[in-house]
Amino acid sequence: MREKFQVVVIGGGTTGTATARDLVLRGFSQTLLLERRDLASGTSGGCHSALHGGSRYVVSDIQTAVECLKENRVFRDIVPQVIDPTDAVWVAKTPEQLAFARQWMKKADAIGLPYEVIPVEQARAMEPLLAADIQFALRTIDTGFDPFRLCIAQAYDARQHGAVIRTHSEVIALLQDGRRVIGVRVLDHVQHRVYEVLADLVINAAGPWGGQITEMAGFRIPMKPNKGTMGVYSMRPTSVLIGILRTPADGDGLVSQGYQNTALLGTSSVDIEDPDDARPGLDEIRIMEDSVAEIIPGIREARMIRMCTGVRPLYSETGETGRAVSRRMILLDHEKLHGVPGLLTITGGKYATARLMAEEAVDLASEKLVGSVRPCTSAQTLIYGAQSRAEAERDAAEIHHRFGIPLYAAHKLTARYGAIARTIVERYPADAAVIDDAVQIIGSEVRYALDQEYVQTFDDLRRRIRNGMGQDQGLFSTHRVAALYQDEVQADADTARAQIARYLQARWKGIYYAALYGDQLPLIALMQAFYAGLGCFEAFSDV
Amino acid sequence: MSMRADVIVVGGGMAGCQAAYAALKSGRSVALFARHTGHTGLGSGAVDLLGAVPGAVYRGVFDLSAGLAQLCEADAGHPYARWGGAIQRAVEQLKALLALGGYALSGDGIHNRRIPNLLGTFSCSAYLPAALKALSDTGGDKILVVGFPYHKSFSPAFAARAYAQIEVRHRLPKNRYIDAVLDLPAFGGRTRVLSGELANFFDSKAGSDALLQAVSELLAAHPDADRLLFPPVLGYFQTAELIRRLEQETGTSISEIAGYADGVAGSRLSAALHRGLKKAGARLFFGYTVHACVAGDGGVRFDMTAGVTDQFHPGERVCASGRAAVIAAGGLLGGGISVRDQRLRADLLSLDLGGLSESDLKTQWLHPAGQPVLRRGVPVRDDLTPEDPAFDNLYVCGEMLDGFNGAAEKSTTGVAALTGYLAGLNAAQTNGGAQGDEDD
Repeated sequence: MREKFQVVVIGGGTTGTATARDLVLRGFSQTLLLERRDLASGTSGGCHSALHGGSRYVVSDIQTAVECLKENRVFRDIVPQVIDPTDAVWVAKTPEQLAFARQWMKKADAIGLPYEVIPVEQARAMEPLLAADIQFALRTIDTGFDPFRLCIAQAYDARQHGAVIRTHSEVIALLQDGRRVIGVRVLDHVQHRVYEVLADLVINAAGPWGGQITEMAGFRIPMKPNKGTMGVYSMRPTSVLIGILRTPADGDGLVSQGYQNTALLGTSSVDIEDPDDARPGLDEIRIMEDSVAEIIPGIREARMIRMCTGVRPLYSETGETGRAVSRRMILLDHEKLHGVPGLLTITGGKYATARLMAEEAVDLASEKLVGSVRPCTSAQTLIYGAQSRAEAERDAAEIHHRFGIPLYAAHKLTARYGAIARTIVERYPADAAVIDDAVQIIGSEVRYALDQEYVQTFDDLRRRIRNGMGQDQGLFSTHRVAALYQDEVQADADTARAQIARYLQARWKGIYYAALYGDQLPLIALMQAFYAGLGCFEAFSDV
Repeated sequence: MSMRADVIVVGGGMAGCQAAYAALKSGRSVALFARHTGHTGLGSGAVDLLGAVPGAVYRGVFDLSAGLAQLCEADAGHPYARWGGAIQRAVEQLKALLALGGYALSGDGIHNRRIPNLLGTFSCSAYLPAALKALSDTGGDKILVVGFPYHKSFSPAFAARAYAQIEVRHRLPKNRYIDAVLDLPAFGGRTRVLSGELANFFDSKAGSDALLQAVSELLAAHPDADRLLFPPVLGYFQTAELIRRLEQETGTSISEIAGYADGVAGSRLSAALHRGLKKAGARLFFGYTVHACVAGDGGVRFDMTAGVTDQFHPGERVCASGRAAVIAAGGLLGGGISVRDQRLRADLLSLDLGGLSESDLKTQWLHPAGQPVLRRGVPVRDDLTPEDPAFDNLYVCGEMLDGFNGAAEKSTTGVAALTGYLAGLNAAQTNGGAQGDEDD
């Protein structure tokens, strides 16, 4: 028997989860979201943790800048705990950059982007690593954020309102009646079975993989998957996002604040054929590091703990490539464009504009489903667990006092879970102790995530609670996570050990490049001494 | 300040200490300078010789001489192939040094021993301290795996199940593992207590008494238990005494699992090495960072900084010179090998060891052949002097050496003990300029 839903959303990134959330908020509660791997495991998780406030695009793409500015404010209101309002400092040191700065300020005034020109001495007092020879600095709004938690929070909010979320569920075919799309065929990677779902409407929010979805319906769309390489520093060399005032280009790196204990060097822009084959480029890292070193000479000394990539879902009708392709959102009505009813594609855009993308997609969906546009409330409705900074601080202090975990760890917990944080420690008080010292996660949240948050692998768990994302990349926490896992899901020891091995292989993908770059060789020595030298893991585990 | 000794040793881990002791036993005066205790301080406190022969598939070693023969045949440039004839003497010297430091090593040097570890698997070591006891060759024991609810480094429930399953799956002699938790009143209400805090407590009379009482109560419920297995927390200084007391009072075998980087087991070994050296008359200086080494016909000189330094605290400049020197500054972990601009370097020797490339790392995180980059180090001549630049009164040993993979082979401490021993002997026999033991 086939299941029946009103809407199927394909893709568990921020666009897909925002779309599912918007649908259920507008009363389309028969919504199913299908994600082939895990929530935020594609483009969304591969972003550089800066929820742009628009300043990066003021000159190059003013419409995107306006949208980013507006949406940044919305996210600060509806899910404040995962947002870190770090601000940005943009600097100039050459005549060209100073000219760019003047142009930038004119446009920023025009769109109402708040900024403040600050004396160079003040900028250097704020950020001591800034070079002595910078000529100009301005400060503007920008935010770091947790790209996993924001996406996951949208998914859970959708679930609270009735949506069904299925991860590790891959769409392998579109069901069609004539040309009309009437449903999807799904491969369940956990149960290893194939099933079919009928739907009045299918929304393709598969990002750079979106082209593969439309091909299942027999037509192509001009997706241009575009890779960005990033380096992750083990600590924050700067306290705000720092970049140079100039047109975004390949040799133009910037340091953004990764959420919490990391900072990122980003991001290159390279067209690729297959979004599943995106490896970090050491040359790209070197170019970006050289670029940033112009204004932060000490950046070369900062240790990179891993390198990673994200793939942008760029859409190019005119055959442009790379940087020239707009970062604008694209909504495609395939009934109108390709004569294929029952299918919409929402793609392009920035992480910061995901809610707006969802709003536009659901406006159209609403028209198709019920003949009119039901009003959108996603910008006003708080996301489940939403908590203001002051409330989060208060809860963190209380958790710290009641459960004896470090205040720092309690802060991190509330920053991930907002108002749910208290419930988590109350439900699992015996595990309310730090088990990953680098990231300061506690055992209670491991259990909660395993129980409540669709976790299949330790890499899924990482997207929920950031285990293994610190300086040690999980070397000293993963076996502790495995112990909790074994108990919580009643797994046998071989399975738990296989999870450890699988997770460290996933971490290895990023450590590998940072090691080739030189920065992570000591960590590799430590990892090998622990798992091979002491553990003989290669003998006891299928690694 | 400047200091002199016949032999200057740089590095305070296994290799450096073995070298210092060998030079002392040869009648030389020795000064040892180190930043910290190095990789040795992170280890389990056991001494491994060879646990596996690296290759496309995992080849574990049980019979040590057979394993060594296999390794040397496959890899003629391996330190064991070049200097393996001295292993027995090096181990005897190590045992003597550690005995002087109050740390007894057991093991016959014929077979490897199987030890349950922190990761829920089994380690394999040739020589064990008092706190580690090998599992019996026949199995059949009832083993209580004990933890503390607030000691989050070790989960006895996870470990007990893991040991039992591996024994079945890998057809090892089977034991019965039962997990148990000891909740000591001294830590009542705490959610997290670190290994070091527990070890410190168990060094005290109160801690020892509390543990004895808790263990006795546990054994009352399990009178047929053959052994208790603890995480590595049974004291820093009184470990052997504590274990002896518990065993005498309860009639049950007591030991620890093998840990890594837990801050307790490795520091016991380091402390014993250093105690032994001090008793034998070496001068030890910790917290010293060596910047430069000048070697020539007139001996060897090191420029160093003492103490923790930052931009406000330049530290005290110290100069040390001797007839000969041993460099045992460690590998990538210890700091003897570093990386800059994608090139490996041995900074102390101003030596460029070449660039990094994809052939240095496998795309698999763990491979029976090991990560190739860990084999890289300083190439030496047969007398352990560096091939290039050609010093003849400066010897290199331990993880800094080229040509072996300590992690994959489980040979780190063994190679360090062997090459440290030989480097110390060679340094003692070197005739250089600077003499005597007088400092300015």
